[in-house]
Amino acid sequence: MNHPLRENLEVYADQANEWIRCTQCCRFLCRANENWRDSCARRLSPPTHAGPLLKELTGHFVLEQLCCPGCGALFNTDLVEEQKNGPEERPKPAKA
Amino acid sequence: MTIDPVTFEILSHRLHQITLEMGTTLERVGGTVNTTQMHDYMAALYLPNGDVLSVGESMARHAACAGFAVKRIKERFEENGGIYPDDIFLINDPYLAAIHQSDIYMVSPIHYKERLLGWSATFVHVMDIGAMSPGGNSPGATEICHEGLRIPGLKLVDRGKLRQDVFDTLINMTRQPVMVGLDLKCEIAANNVAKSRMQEVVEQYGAELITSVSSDMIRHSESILKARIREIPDGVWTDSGAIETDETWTVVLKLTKEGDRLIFDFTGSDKQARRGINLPYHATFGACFESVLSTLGYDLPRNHGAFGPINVIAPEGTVVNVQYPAPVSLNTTSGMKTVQYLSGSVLMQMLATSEKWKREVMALSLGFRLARHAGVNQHGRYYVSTLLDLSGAGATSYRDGMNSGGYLTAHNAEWIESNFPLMYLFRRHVKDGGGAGAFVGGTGAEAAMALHDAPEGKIKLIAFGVAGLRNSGQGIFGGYPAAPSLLMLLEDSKLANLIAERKYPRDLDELGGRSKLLPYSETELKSDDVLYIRAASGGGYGDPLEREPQLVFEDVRNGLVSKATAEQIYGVVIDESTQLLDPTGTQELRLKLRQKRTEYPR
Repeated sequence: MNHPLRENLEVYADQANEWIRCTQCCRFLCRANENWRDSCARRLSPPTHAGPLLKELTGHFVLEQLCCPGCGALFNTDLVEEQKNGPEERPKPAKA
Repeated sequence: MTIDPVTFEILSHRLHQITLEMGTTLERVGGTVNTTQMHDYMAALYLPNGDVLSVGESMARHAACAGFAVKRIKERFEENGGIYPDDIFLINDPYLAAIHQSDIYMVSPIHYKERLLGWSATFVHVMDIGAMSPGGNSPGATEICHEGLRIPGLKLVDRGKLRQDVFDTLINMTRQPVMVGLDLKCEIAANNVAKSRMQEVVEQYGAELITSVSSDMIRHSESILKARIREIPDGVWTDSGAIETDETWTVVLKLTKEGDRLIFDFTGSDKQARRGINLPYHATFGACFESVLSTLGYDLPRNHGAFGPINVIAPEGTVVNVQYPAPVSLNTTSGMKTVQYLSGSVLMQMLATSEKWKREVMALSLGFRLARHAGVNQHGRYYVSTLLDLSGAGATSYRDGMNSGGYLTAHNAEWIESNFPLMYLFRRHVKDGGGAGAFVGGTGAEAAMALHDAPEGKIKLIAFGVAGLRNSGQGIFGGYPAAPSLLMLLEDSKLANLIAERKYPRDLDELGGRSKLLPYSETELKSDDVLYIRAASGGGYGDPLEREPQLVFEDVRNGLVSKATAEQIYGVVIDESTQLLDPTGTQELRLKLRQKRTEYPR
């Protein structure tokens, strides 16, 4: 069944499989039972890239952005801990 | 009994109106800033068995907890002491029904001609509860016995007569007997209003009809809510959050949606903390209840029907199901705020998978910092009160978040200055506060204040609220996080010199002094110090490069967004010479920024 997943992402079903794809350029990122975050273009930058008033977070958090590698559509922006709990260790969604 | 739809609507709204009048009564009769200005209260009606019948425009999480309070009072008094017309009971034990001791629940049976029709219940946050810290929120408490009076249930009004000995004993054990007394009396008044109005309705329509409408209201809410849940694809969604005191405590949540059921599972959350951030089970349940109501049931009668689809799993002995004797006094602005955020976050992820419901998605906030202040005021009286400011609301899928429109409301600055030895230096919206996005988060407020006319030359400050740096509106679906909430003390500032030179400080930089962020702590505000409070701004929704350039330009013109942020985050160019929006330059910059994203590593 086709349904949206979040802004710029959707679950798309063809005859055999379900996929997660970018709604802006229709690029397939992964199968629906895989983690779409692993297929994204990813940028880590200082928290102040989200605004100057986030300066107190510098050294503790980084700004993680996940984008479509095909068209640059932005899927997610989040603050993730810089030291003990890097992005690779973050809990991943159980579905999609 | 068959009820025609018109009668059902009239009576359903009439019952709701009673809860609104109860809330107004709390505000008009109450004494403290929390009750009269900040809406830190709840008023609701219940069925004879304690199920929620109608929640006013107040905190729904407390309405769920007060349902537990009604049941605890029934258990305690039905066989021992009796429950009679015009009784009013008081309970604030967090292990039984309340969230923390400062939130005093009063519940009252409503009878008509000796028949129990139901119950009314209220809570207000009293300004002192005899805990180790003034105001009740005690950063140093390591067990519940440090946190003040804990009452498992007592009869405060016996068949219409106030038990003065009990009343005097209660207020005598607080630091602010007059104000606490006023707040207790406003609860008595609100419960009396509920009783009178309910009796009037029954007199007009008859008890059988009211009983039938009450049951139908709950069935109506439950059936619509379940139908809405069925419209959304099944799935599992997760999120986690941290509460920082002297240690970090993690809360994890998994939402499973199966058919018309919503299972909130907090398994894996940390063991209960040694600081008062812990939530009792009913509070965790109440937060989930409130999140479901505000996302999928915001237009429905707010009642026990929303309990139907919800199952909350919270293992005993964790931060979300605290066991005796762990402390709880800080929990409403820490554990509760985190659980509210997480339960909302997983629901937002769920809504986004539905074509019909994705429009309701909203960025949520993890931010909240505030302080109690206590001491001798300019009128020579001891006092305890609250300082906080207005946070910005999160953006939604179709509109910007409201500036100063977030959690709770705040006090009036002039009222603070006339009652307490404080002087505001500034109070305003922050620039670049709202999280960027296609829709921007609402901007929060910032304020600085100093002592003024303080007989003792100092007052006490108790800092609390969600500590830690990730303390703001969190962006959603690409939207950016917002400026975090801060409590900062500037010690030994140059304020006195500036005032002597007739200079008026407009920024912290002008004040000099040593700045330190205040964690959960007790400290003092002294003559040369300045307290700075910044409320969290709201998170953004979607990609900032998709925001209408004209709106960004207007934000710059209104002082809410700097030119640098407009260019770097939104890709909006403002012509230096004309100071007008440059559409061509904006288009080119946005293309360039977007192309750059495709080059990020994978």
